[in-house]
Amino acid sequence: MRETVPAMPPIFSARPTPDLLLARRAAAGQAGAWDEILALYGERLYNLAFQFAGSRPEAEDLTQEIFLRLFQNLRRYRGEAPLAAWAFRLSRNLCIDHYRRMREERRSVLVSEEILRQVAAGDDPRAEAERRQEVAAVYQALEEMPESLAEVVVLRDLQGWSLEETAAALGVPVGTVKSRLHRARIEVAERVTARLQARWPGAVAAALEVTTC
Amino acid sequence: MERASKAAVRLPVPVSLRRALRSIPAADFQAEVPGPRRVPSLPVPASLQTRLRALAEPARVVRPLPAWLRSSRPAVAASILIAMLAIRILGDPLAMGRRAVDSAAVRWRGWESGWESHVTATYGETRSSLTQSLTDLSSRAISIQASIQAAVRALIPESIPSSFRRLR
Repeated sequence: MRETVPAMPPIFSARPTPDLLLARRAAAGQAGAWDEILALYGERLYNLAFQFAGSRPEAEDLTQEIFLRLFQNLRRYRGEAPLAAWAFRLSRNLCIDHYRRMREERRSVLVSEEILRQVAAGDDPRAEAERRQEVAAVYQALEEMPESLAEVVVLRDLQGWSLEETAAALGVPVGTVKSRLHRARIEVAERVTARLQARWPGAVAAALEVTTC
Repeated sequence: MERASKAAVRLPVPVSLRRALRSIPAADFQAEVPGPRRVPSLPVPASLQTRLRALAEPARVVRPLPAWLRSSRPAVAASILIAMLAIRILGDPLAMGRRAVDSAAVRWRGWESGWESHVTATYGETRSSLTQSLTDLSSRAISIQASIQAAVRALIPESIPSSFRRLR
């Protein structure tokens, strides 16, 4: 089966993408272009950095590193991928390093309290407790899994990136993302099921829901 | 051999086997596997926004001082020129200095004499006030002594020997 490779537009494309135009404007120092990039991708990349860093201060530093690389390399951007995915690809090593460090440091406390605090389930304390257990189980599963599988779940499922964006961010074809995602989800499901089955019968189905590829 | 192979190809799949094979569900490798739910999005902190905006701001270029200002020779020349101009405009600096010293001495003398008289007056006032206070204290002590003597005389009876009374 042939894998779908993200389309690479020519360098001097007749119809440049909006991202490419924006990048060119920002690289040329046009007032407001950089602010526009921050408005479009700031939250997205910050949340992604948060997933890899695990704490607010580290996430802020990591986001700054990502945007610094993005700014320094704006002239090299050819619009072949969405800007956010391209920025992540540039800074992937930084993110992976943070992720590894996080794994090393969190042998006792596996899931950041700040991540769990994001999870709210209305006024029902039992539902909230269950949801926190679910999220903790998912993160614990991800920490135990190989990085290549964990990062695809983080980008696609936890952050909601599209398959194309995930493929562009990881620098692999969409087909590879699909197959990795398939394997990663099975592994997450197995690990989460093993953890939750005893404590919260019936919570497994709620923890995992179908995401259309 | 040839006949046997032809016969083998022609062998039909038994109905029972076909039924059994059909009953096995096909392994669906393309089936969707549930993934974890998306986590809520966090807003970018204001402090981080400021830091990110600053990334694109051009670095402030500090202009170096002009060469004629950085070199010592032009600075010395400029100082001499300024001094000559000042002499020309304001007059001889030596005479100006002498005048300044004289006027300062006169002022000092005036201030010194004034200070001396002030100290003398203050000292006199303090001294007279102290003398007056001591005189008052002395007269008060004498009057207290007299009243005590009178009280003692009234209280001690005549039976007490004169030798002891003399002690009063």
